[in-house]
Amino acid sequence: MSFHEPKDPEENLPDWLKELRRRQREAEQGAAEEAAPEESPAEEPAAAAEDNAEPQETPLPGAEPDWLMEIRRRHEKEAPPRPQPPTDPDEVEPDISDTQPNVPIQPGEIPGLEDDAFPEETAPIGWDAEPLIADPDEDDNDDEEASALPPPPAWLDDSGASEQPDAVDPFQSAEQDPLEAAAPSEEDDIEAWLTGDADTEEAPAVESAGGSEQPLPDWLAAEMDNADDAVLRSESSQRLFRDTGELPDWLMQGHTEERPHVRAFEDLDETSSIEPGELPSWLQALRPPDVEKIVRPTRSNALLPDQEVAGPLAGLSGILPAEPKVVRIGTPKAVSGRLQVSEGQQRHAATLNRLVAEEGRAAEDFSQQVAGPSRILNWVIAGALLLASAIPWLTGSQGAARPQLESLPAAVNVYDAIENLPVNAPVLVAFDVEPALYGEMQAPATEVLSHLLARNARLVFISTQPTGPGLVERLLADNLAIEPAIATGTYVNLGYLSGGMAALRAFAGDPQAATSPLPGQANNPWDATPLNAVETLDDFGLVLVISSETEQARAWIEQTADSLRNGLYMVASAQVAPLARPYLDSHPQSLRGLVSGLSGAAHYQIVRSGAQSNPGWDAFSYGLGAMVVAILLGGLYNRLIHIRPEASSEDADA
Amino acid sequence: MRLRAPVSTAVAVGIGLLLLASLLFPGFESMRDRILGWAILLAAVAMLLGLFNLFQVHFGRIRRGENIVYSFIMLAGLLTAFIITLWQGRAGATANWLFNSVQVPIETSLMALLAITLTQATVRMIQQRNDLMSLVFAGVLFILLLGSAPLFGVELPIFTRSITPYISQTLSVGGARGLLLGVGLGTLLTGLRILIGADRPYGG
Repeated sequence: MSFHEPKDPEENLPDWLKELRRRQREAEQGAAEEAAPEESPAEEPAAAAEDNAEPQETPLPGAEPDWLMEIRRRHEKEAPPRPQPPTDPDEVEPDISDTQPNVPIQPGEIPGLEDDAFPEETAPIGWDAEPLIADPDEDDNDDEEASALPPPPAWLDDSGASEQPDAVDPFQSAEQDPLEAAAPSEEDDIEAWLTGDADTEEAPAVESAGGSEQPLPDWLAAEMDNADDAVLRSESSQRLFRDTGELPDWLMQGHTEERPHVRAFEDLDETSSIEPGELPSWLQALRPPDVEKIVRPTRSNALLPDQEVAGPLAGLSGILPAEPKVVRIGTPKAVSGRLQVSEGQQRHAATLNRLVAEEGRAAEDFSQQVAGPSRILNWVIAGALLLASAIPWLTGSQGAARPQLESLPAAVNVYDAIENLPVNAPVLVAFDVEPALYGEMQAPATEVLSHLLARNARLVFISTQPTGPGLVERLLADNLAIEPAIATGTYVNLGYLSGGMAALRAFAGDPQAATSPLPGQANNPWDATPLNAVETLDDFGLVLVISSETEQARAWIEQTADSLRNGLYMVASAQVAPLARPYLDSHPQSLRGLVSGLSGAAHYQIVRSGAQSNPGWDAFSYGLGAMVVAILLGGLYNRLIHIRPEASSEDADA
Repeated sequence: MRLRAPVSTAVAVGIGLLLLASLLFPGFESMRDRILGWAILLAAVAMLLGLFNLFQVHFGRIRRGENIVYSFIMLAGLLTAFIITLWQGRAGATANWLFNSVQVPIETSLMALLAITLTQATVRMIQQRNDLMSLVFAGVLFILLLGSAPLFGVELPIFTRSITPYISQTLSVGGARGLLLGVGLGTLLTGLRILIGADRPYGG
């Protein structure tokens, strides 16, 4: 045990506190003289319990009211005489209950009580509270301190510290305070303390040495010898300290006084006739086997919360701490991570685990059952479409109804513009077609180009798509090769115009500059017959845009239409028609005529030649019909699959 | 370099204002055509850079061993067409054969497969989705299909002459006009933001 003891505790105290302590000592001495000889043993536990419960409310003996003094006097008169009243007031153990706990009790202040009388687990009030379980390392480190302090009593070294260093009987600690046990008038407590010190469970039938005819047991005799040795050592150490002058006078005075608990040991064999305390059998059965390992704070070592333990304010509670509690870093408690799970809890955990596992599993979706046949559905749809489209080619039937003329009036504008072209007029054809939509664009483009070639127009092709020039050549070779102009190669393919809208704007402003050949190129198309008279875009007799994409169609309209007096004409795919139609309906018209999709081709064919023969139109009609039927049947089939389990479940519920 | 951003912004704003002035005032046509010629040349260079980047990406994949087959086929086709076209010109027989025998059939077949895929998607949409928009989509689709052409050679006049023309020439035109108007306003706003330097798509 280590504590920092000031050299002179009274030196640094303020005057009011010194006066308070002086009064307290006087009151303690007076109370010891009055209360200790007359106090009955039955009152001791009650007083101790009150001290444990409300230690701060214990009044000073000198400040007791009259009514309380009256009650105390009556009680003293009614109390039986003490078996062995102490002869010397100095030998009486001071009643801790009569002292004010807030005032620190220094060693030597209590008459006859010395610091070596405190075992390690029972530090005096106001001193540093040390852990009840002594740390061996700390003991090793504190050798120097221990040498400077008076040696502990032999009974503590031999029986208390060596035999049970880490186990204190809670009942013993609570009831057998050494301060009380040292009182010579309380034989029962002394006996209980002694028996508790020597492990009462293993030796329950220990009897008092002096109270009976039986001689003291060996261990108790050894204890007594050790106690005597401790007294001798203490006295020798006091002489040593006195010679060296290390201890202050007030402490030496305390050391020179007689120790009541030592006298209690000495008187045991002479005056004590203490009967050993016997625990009833049922209580012994209830007592847990490892109860001695449970450590409970005793009255003396249990400091009040927030009680100052050092310095001039030692013993006072409720003061502001010098350092906040948050900076007091301690070793965290070792908490066992092993979970004690009962059988019911395990069953509940298993149920919860099963529920969570079922939540993670995807519920059976009935649509997944039809995902397998979806590949079959693909093949069925593909086969149906191919078969339906092939029917006109296989049967040779061309009886599908043709579109009405009034439904596509814009196509007539194209026809009229071509019909009004002068002979051999240069016609610019912007061919912006993607290969994917070449099949759709082939029919209307062929009809319109065929009409232009029939009017002996000088075709000039250009494209803003890299694939455009190649598709133009393919279209001319596949569908218009029989035309004289194509066969003789009197058309001009300017190729690809890179640069997007900027290139279109430049081409609209200066076509020759935008498409001029590289220096040194042999054939300059602008030097040939159809283009030598063209300087601006408006010099073309007709500008026709064949476009399968919306963006290209819009770019041509927006960048070139304002520079064309005769306007712009367009052959577009079905997907371009909705966006091109606003330009067709605008005023003035940015787009003069439009032929869109297969229906536009069929319509233009009817307008141009009145021909009713169009295998492509019939194939389109049959394929479209097959598609509608496939959608209807497929939707109804899947809908029926979905309805079936719901109906079966409803039947099951009914 | 700290001056790069202000300089590039100043160049972009200045050229934009010049081109705008050339459209409003006469006398700037030659300058405008020259600048447009630069832009067209830069666009062609950008296409070459894109071609080089494509080659680099797939060549890197081959070196790392990622999708070696597809990257090798792509690089082989790219180099073959590029070299042959450079050698024979755009009207060369081999270049035209490659274009007409490989590229056009492949893209046309993909479009034909799209018709089958869309049909199946419509079937599944009718099966799985029951909300209002799905019903509206399916209804409009049926009306347009029934009115686009006679089914199996049989014309349904109520669709071909009444409902379908109304949808395609009135409702769709209204929607298309709104879309084009929005596109025009967006283009105008983008141009203004670039002219005042609020937007710097050139990375300034």
